[in-house]
Amino acid sequence: MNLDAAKQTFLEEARELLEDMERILLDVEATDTTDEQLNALFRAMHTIKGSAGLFGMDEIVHFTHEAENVVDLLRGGHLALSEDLSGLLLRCHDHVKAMLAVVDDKAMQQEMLQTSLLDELRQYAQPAATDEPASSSQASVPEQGGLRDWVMSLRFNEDVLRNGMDPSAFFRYLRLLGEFLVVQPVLCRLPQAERFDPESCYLRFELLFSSDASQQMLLDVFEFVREDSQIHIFPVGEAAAHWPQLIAHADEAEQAAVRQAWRALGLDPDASTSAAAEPEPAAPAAKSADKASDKADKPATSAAEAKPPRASESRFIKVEAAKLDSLINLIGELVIAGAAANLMARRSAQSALVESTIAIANLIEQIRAGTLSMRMVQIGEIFSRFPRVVRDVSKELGKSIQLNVSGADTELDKSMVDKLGDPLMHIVRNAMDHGIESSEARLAAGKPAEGNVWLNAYHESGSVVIEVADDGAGLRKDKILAKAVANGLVPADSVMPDGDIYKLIFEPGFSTAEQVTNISGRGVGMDVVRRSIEQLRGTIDIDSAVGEGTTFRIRLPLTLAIIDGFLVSVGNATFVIPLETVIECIELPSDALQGDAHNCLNLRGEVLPLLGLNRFLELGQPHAKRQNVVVVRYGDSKAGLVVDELLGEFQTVIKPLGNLFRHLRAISGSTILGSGEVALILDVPSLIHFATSQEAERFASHAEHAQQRGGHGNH
Amino acid sequence: MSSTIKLDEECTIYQAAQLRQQLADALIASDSLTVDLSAVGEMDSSAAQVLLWLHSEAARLQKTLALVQLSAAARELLTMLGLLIYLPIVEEEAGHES
Amino acid sequence: MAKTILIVDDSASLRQVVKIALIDAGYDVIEAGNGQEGLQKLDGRKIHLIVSDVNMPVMDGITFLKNVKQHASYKFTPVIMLTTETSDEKKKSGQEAGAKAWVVKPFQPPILLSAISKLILP
Repeated sequence: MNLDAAKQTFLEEARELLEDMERILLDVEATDTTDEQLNALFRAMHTIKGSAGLFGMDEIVHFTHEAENVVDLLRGGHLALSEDLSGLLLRCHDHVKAMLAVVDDKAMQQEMLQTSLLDELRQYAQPAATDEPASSSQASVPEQGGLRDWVMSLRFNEDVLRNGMDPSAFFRYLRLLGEFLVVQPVLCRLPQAERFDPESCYLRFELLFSSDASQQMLLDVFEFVREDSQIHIFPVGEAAAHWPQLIAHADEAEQAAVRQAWRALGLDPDASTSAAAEPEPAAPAAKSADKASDKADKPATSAAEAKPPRASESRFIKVEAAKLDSLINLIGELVIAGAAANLMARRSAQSALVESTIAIANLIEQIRAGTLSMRMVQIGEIFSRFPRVVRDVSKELGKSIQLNVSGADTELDKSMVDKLGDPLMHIVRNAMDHGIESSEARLAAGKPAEGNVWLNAYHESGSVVIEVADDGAGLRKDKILAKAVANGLVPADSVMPDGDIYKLIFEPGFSTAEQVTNISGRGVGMDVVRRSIEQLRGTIDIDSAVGEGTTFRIRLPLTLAIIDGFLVSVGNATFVIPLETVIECIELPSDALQGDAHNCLNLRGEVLPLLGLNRFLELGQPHAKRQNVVVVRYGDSKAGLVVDELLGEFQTVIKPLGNLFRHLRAISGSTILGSGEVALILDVPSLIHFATSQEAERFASHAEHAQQRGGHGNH
Repeated sequence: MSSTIKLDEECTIYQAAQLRQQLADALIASDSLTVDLSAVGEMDSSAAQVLLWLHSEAARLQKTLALVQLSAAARELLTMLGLLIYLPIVEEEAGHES
Repeated sequence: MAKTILIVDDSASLRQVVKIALIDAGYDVIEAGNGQEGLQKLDGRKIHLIVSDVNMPVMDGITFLKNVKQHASYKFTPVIMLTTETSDEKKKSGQEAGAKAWVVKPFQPPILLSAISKLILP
């Protein structure tokens, strides 16, 4: 354990506290504030300040201190959490976050203290500002002065022992600062017989002490008891002058006892002005050797008290992401090695060996699943940013927009969560900017003035689906098409399915916004959005209805690292089809696929476009007499992939393709088989797209033929 | 009649009430009480205070009290607080005066 | 045998830094993340001093302190409360609960160390 690790902990902790703070601030806007929420707000600033102080991050301490003051007033009910104030606190949240981001840059930090936020905070804090209690009124003697003799009058409060403050502990600490010359106990307060309470403190001391510490330092030794006790410390020469002040609260008996003690110290309490005699080095000067005392364990007198069940705090271990990644990589290798061992075992035909490799494979599978689940995080981690964004952006746009979130507990791979934030942000901003109409326009269209944006996530057949929907004006197909034609993206008379028209907005340089705003607009972004999603092996689709709204649907694989694959052979090559896309496998009817690469299959009344992989991938003629169809699905589309042989399920680690192969549309990656051979992973979405669009084209050209023939007929 | 009481290893505020009771009972039960401090490993002001009180009780009840065999910890504390001369410490072997 | 200090604070980083400083100074340290965890540490083992934050989730420092003061084996254990100068009201209720020693947050480790040394030396 070292300080760097502690600092890392601090940064992580601060991040979480800030997230809490933000969530509360956004939440309380809608509802009343609870004490718990206000406490948590306070704690965020308080804890960051406290820990930042430990690390010497004075600028952060300074800033959070001011914010803490204001939140403390909130918490005490002296301030109300107005929209204005919660906005200010949100900006403070941002500021602290920004300061934490440059924590090692002292100059930058100092610069960041020059912010008007502090003035705004002080305006809130001003009316009820409380001053720090004046620390000491007693320090009359100038600090400093080398070794000198001090008179200490230590008249402890009766409660000090009960409070865990043992006078002897202060003596021990004083020994670190100097030397006791004479210690004169004053015992007159010790009661007799039954009146003696062994837990009360009756001991008082008058003593001479030699030290080069300042008066303040010596007084500070007693800082925890000074409030209730009478602690006086003066240089020997000035002591007599303070005598009246010193015995002001003492009864007669004690006055007499203290007076006697002073005489024993060689001081003359009545000689107010005369210098005190130099004390003789009296007998019981404390010089005995310190000795560490052994202690026996105290017997456990009371059993552990009944403990209420732990609150539902989640207990987490934070692990560096890279460690988990390398573990997953290793497990990937293990999966492959396990498959190889299984293959060898099968070849050896020793059933016991085969069985044990199967048992190992089962365990590997469990480890794999467990490890992958460690990477899974709730998408709420991204969703939680949006209330803030929607709030800010809708203010900026002067629109009234409500955000509705569902499925925040849907899990997906951490690495995807990290990369999904920006594209999602863009889509949401786009929906607010271009999707939702102004309140006037909405009212005119007979809709409620307040617009809605929905964020929704769910799992569907091995994918995670994230929807961003709005109830705005919807996309105008004609406008998009016109713009695309004008930009030369599509031919003037193209006929396209709706979904494809909508997708034109993802083309580089496309923007239909008449008004460029600083929210989204500018025609950059949507193409970047699509690229980001595709890099995650995901797809994005759009549904829209004019006047009703638009839905962006992002479909992502659960994880990027390992897939369950379905192994097929085509020609001499082996391919992997992601298992989650496979619906069923059937034998290819002998009458289908006569030479043509594309065809259709009647699958229980449904027309299934077929794609012959032999031909499509140019692998030559099929070897097998019988071919098979793997029915795959992605989103709403289905297709049949015609392959030679079905080799069964296979777990595999995805190895990314080299740059050279990046542009390949039908291949999404590669993997190594147990036998050591390389197999390519088929990119099912693009294959389906290819199959369906080719089919549509063919259908269109058939229709054209038919029309032409019809035309001839009319002549 | 005389008796000897040996104090426990730990003599702190947590044991103060019990210590006081134990010593008070022993003092009443005998004319001469010897308190053996040889085992005292941890001692604080409260224990010192109990001994001071016991000393005054012995005087009040006209009994004899002797503190013997001070352990290093006990001696260190009583010395530091300047209390040695206020207690009936007998430096020889535990006394047997009747 | 080193003296044992229980540090109760919801900030793990604060606990870490304090722990490093205290162990360097020769104390033994046990930690708790809030008052309730703190109470669970009062299981009969010897604890010479407690350092506790005031504002913590689950169980705050004042409630924790009140519980300590009710505990036969720990009621005389010195407790240093960590506080901020902004929380005067808290300080008052802490004093009522029996808190006498306060260290103002934020602090550098030597400040806490010297406060502890006044009550117990390693």
